[in-house]
Amino acid sequence: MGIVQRTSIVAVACVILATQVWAADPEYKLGAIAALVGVGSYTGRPMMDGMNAAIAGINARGGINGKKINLVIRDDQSTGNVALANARELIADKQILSIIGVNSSLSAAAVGPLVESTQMPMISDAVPQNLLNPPRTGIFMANVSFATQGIAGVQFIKSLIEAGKAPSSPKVAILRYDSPATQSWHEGVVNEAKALGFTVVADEVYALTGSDISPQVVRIANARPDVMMTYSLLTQGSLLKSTFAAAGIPITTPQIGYNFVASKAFLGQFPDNAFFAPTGWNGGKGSPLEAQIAEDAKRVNVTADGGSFFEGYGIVLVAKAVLDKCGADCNRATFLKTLDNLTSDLGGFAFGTFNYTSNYHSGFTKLGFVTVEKGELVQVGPAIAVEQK
Amino acid sequence: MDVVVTLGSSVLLLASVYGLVNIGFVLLYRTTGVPSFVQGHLVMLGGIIMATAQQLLGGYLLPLLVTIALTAILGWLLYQALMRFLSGSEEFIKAIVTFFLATVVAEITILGWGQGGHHIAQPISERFDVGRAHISAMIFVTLAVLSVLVVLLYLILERTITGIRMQAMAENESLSIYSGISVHRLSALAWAGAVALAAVAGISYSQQVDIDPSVADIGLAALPAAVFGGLNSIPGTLVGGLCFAILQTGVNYYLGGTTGFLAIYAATLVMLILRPQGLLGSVTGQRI
Repeated sequence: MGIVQRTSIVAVACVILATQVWAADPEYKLGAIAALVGVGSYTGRPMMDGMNAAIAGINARGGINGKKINLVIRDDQSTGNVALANARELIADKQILSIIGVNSSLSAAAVGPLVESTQMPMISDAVPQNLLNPPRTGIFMANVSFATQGIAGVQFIKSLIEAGKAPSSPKVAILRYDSPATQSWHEGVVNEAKALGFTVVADEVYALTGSDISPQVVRIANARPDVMMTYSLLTQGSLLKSTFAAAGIPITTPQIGYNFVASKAFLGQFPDNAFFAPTGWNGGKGSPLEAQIAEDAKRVNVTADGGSFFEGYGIVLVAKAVLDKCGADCNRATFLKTLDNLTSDLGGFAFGTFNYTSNYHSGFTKLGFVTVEKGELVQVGPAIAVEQK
Repeated sequence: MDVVVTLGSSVLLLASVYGLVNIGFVLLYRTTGVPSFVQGHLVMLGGIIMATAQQLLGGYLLPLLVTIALTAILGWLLYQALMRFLSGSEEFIKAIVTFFLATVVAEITILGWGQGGHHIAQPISERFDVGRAHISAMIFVTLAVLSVLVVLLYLILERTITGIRMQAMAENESLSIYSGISVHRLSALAWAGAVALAAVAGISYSQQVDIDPSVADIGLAALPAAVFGGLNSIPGTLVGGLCFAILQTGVNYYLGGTTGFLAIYAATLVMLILRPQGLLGSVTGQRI
């Protein structure tokens, strides 16, 4: 090989190397879809707060593999069609490795088929049951399914029995607003109560547009339940409290809610150890990450409180775990491959091992229950092992 | 007995709130001819302004007065900045504008205050226990406020020159202008009153719920009650509100689920077929 050939090869190699170095992105780019206006913004805004806080924290601590995260945010305005347009735009940007967020099941349902067909990874906290079972390529849930939360909630009653807060064969009442999500949760509750031999003495549903739940609550009061399974919005604590009191139901009656209400602001409206909420994210008082989460929330001027905030924070930690393993050269395909087999404890943010399997794209293995004690959010009892359904 | 007490107090509160929402609705309809679809959203906005004023000023009475003043000014501005330009337009156009205005109010509220609930501390916490149930004393305060406002509105509309001119304006805007009636001033006054009344409704409703954007849905139930009772009749809207509160609560209790809403909308449809002017409303002719 002559000097000219050798020089040419070295020159070409240098050009290729230089091109690769220049082409390597200085940052990881993720795309977020969230409902920032409209009815979905009840959960979309706090979820976005959680995602922004987590990313601000990660970037402030030096990023991942030396690269910072750049989050491109799109507002789906609580509308499936807008979410779909958002997703198309994000997918068209080849640098975006994954769509994260998508806080309403309506939007997740609209976006689901597109991300599946384009192999774009999506980590959402509101994937409807039909897109989870059987699992679809690219669609991942960063929350515990509605039905599973209902099942775990009924199982939690056993710890109330052990603590002497409920009789051994408790009479259970169910109260929920009307929606497809609460319907799935309700099925989980009813089936598990039946399996455990608990009697469902009242089963009430109310319209979200109503705001007057007295008739339903009076029927529950007539049934004199020992425990309540309550699926309400974050903003309905005052309504529950005043209506229960008016109907003569002691507000000390144990209630178990959905993870929306795993919030100091909501649970603090009830007496200590009276209202319990499930959560997959271990961010409460005394948790290993408590100080870090509070600090990260401060970076973006928000308060670390509420189920949706922690869901947003958790979604970013799932993405971080993927990026950690995927490496500096991570692209969309390798991101998806890593996500497909992710096993991590998310730095202690999940109660147990968090893993996605080929059988199920919801990663939780354990669910904790929180309540309020002396104004602080605290975990009650050990986290319950869950089988995703 | 417990059931009667709890459901009875629920009916009283619901009927009072429907009444407060609807007298604002009737005020606008009878004076400007506008069927306002924004009333429910103004109830929500008024409640949120009260909660904010209470946070800033403390207490109850001062924030209440500040809220009423601010919402009255807002109503005045709404007319001057928007509805004034629709003067002479068809009723349908005005109604559609209020429909879109409702969305604007909702989005501005969410942008300004977020989606969370706003608690309003109540001035009276006394309650009357009956068996296991209780009735809050605030419900009677709300009833008293509603009664005073109804009498006041009746006197203004029926016994004052301003009120009679307002009604003439709704009958025929063009003729009122030719007669020298200051249409814009009176319309702005009606909007100021209607928005302030909506705020009072929101503040009253806060004894049951924290005020969040979903409270605007109260308009969805109050409007059919007004239609049922008679859109142009104050006693009619009050009777409609009471009927609907009883129907909604009773049906929800006996049939369960969300059947109460179905019942009130079905009742409204039946009323519209049998007696389009509503229970106590009067037939208005239109010259063509």
